[in-house]
Amino acid sequence: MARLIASSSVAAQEQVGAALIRRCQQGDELAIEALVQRYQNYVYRLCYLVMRNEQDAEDMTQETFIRACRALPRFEIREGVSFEAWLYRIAVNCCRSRMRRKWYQVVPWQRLGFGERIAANAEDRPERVVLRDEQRGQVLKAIDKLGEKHRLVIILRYYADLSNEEIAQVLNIPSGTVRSRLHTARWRLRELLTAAGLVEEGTEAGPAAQRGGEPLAVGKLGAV
Amino acid sequence: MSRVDLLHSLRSQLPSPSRRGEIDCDRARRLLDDYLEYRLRKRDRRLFETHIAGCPRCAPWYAHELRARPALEHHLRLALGASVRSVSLSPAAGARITQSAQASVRRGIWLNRAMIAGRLLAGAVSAILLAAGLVYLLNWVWRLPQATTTPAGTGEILSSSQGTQPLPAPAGVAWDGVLEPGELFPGESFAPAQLLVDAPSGQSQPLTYGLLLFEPGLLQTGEAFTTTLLVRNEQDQPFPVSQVNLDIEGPQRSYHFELAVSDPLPAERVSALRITPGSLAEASQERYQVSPDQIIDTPGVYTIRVTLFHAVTVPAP
Repeated sequence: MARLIASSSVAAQEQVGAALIRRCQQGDELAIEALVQRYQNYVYRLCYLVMRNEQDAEDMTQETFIRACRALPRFEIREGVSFEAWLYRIAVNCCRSRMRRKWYQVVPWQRLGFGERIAANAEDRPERVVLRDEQRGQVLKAIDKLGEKHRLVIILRYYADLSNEEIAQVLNIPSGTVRSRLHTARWRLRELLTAAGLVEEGTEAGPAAQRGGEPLAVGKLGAV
Repeated sequence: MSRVDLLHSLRSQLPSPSRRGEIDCDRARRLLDDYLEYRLRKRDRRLFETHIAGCPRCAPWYAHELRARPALEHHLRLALGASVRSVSLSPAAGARITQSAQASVRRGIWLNRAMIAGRLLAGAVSAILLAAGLVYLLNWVWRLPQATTTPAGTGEILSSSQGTQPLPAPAGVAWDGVLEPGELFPGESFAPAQLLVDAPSGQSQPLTYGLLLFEPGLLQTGEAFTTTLLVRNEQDQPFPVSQVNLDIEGPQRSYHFELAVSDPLPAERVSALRITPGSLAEASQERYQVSPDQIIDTPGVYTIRVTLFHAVTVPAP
C-alpha cells in the first residue's frame, strides 16, 4: 500500500510539473517564476558541486535558466523524457563550457572550510561533528581524485539521484557507458576510501575471503 | 620448460572455461551491477545466481559486495548532500534569475514562432520548386520544344528547347566556318538581340542571337532556296547544338525537317549554318515525295520557322 501511495504521489507530482511546464511554454510569467523557484536550488547546488565556487555556480544557474527558458517552447512533454534530466543537462553543459576556459581552476574541497560550512545540529556533540566532517571531507577528497567524467556520473547519481538512463540523457552518452563509468568510479572510490579506513577492504585479500565467508543461498539473493 | 608446457601451465591456472548454461567468475563480476539494479534478463539472472551459489571464490565476494556497496553509496550520498545542504541562492539572486528566465521565455516563444514561420516558408518554397521541377520534367519527357515563329526571311529565330533529341536525320548539316559580320554578307548588319537560353540548373545563359537569311532573297515559285542561320556564341566555350528543325507552312502544305548538327557552336564567334536544298533533298523526297524546288510551289505567304536544339544534360532526379 505504501508503495502504491508513493507511486501515485509521484505521478501526481509529474502531472503538476507537466502542467507547470505547459503554462511556462505559453509564456505565463507566474508559472515561470514558480518553475524557477522549484528548481533553482537543485540547479544551483549541482552547479556548486561541479564548480566549487558560489559566484560561478550562481552565474551558471542563471545561464542554465536563460538557456532552458529559451528552449522551453520546444521542449516536448512525453513519457521517458525527464524535465529534470533535461535541465541538468543544460546545467552540466554550462558548467563544462565555463570549466573548459584555460584560466579556470576547480578549487579542491579541503580549501573550502568544509567543517564550518556544514553547520551541525545544535544537539550534536562537537567531537562527533568534527569526526563526521572529517569523514565527509575524505569522501569528497576521494571524489576529487576522479577524472571529470567519473566525478560527474557520481554527482549525478548520488547527489541528483538520477537513474542511469537519465544520466545518459544529461551527458548525452549511451546508458552502457554510464554503467561502465559508474562501475569504474565506484571501484576507484572504494580503493581510496578503503585506504582511508572508511570502507571495508575487498574480498580477494580482505577479511571476508580470509574468513572463508559463507556463500549466500540463491533464495536469499533474489531478495537483495 | 618448453613453450607448449608453459602455455599448458598458464591455461591450467585460469578459471575453467564457461560451459553452456554457466558463466565464469569474471563474467559474474561484470554482471553484479546489473544484477543489483534488476537489469538482468531472467536467464542471465538465473546464471548469475547459480554461479554465486556454487562458486567458492565468488560467494564471499558477493557477500562482501552486499555489505560494502551500500556503505560506499551511503558515504557518497551523505558527503555530497551535506556539502551543499547550507548552500542556497540568495533571494536577490533568485529574483534576478526569475526575471532573466521570464525574458528568455518570451524570446524563446518569438524564436519558436519565427522558426515555425521559417519552416512554413521553406515548405512553400519547396512546394513551388517541386511543382516547377515537375513541370520541367514533364516538359522534358514529352519533348515540347518552344519555337518562335518568325516571318520568312527576317527576325530572330533562335530558340531553345529542353531535352536532348535523338538525331533522326541521317544527313546532317555543319557550321559553315567562322564569319564576321559584314564579311560574308556585305550590307547586312546584325541587329543584336540578346537571347536567353534556359539551362537545366535554372540559370539562364546569355549567349547567342541569330539572323535568318534566304538565298535568293526574293523567291520565285519552283525555286529551291538555301536557309542560312547566323548565330553568335558570346560565351568563351563552345555551345553544344545537336539539331536544327525547319518547319515550313505554305498556303497548301506544311513541311517538317529534322537535321542533325555535327559540331558545337564555336566560342565567341559568329557562325553560319546553311540548310541547302541538297541537305533537304533526301528527307523531302522520302517523306513528302517532292524535291526541294517543289516546296515553294504556289504563290502566297510562307511561314518558315527554324528551331535550334542544344544538347543539355538533365541532372538525375
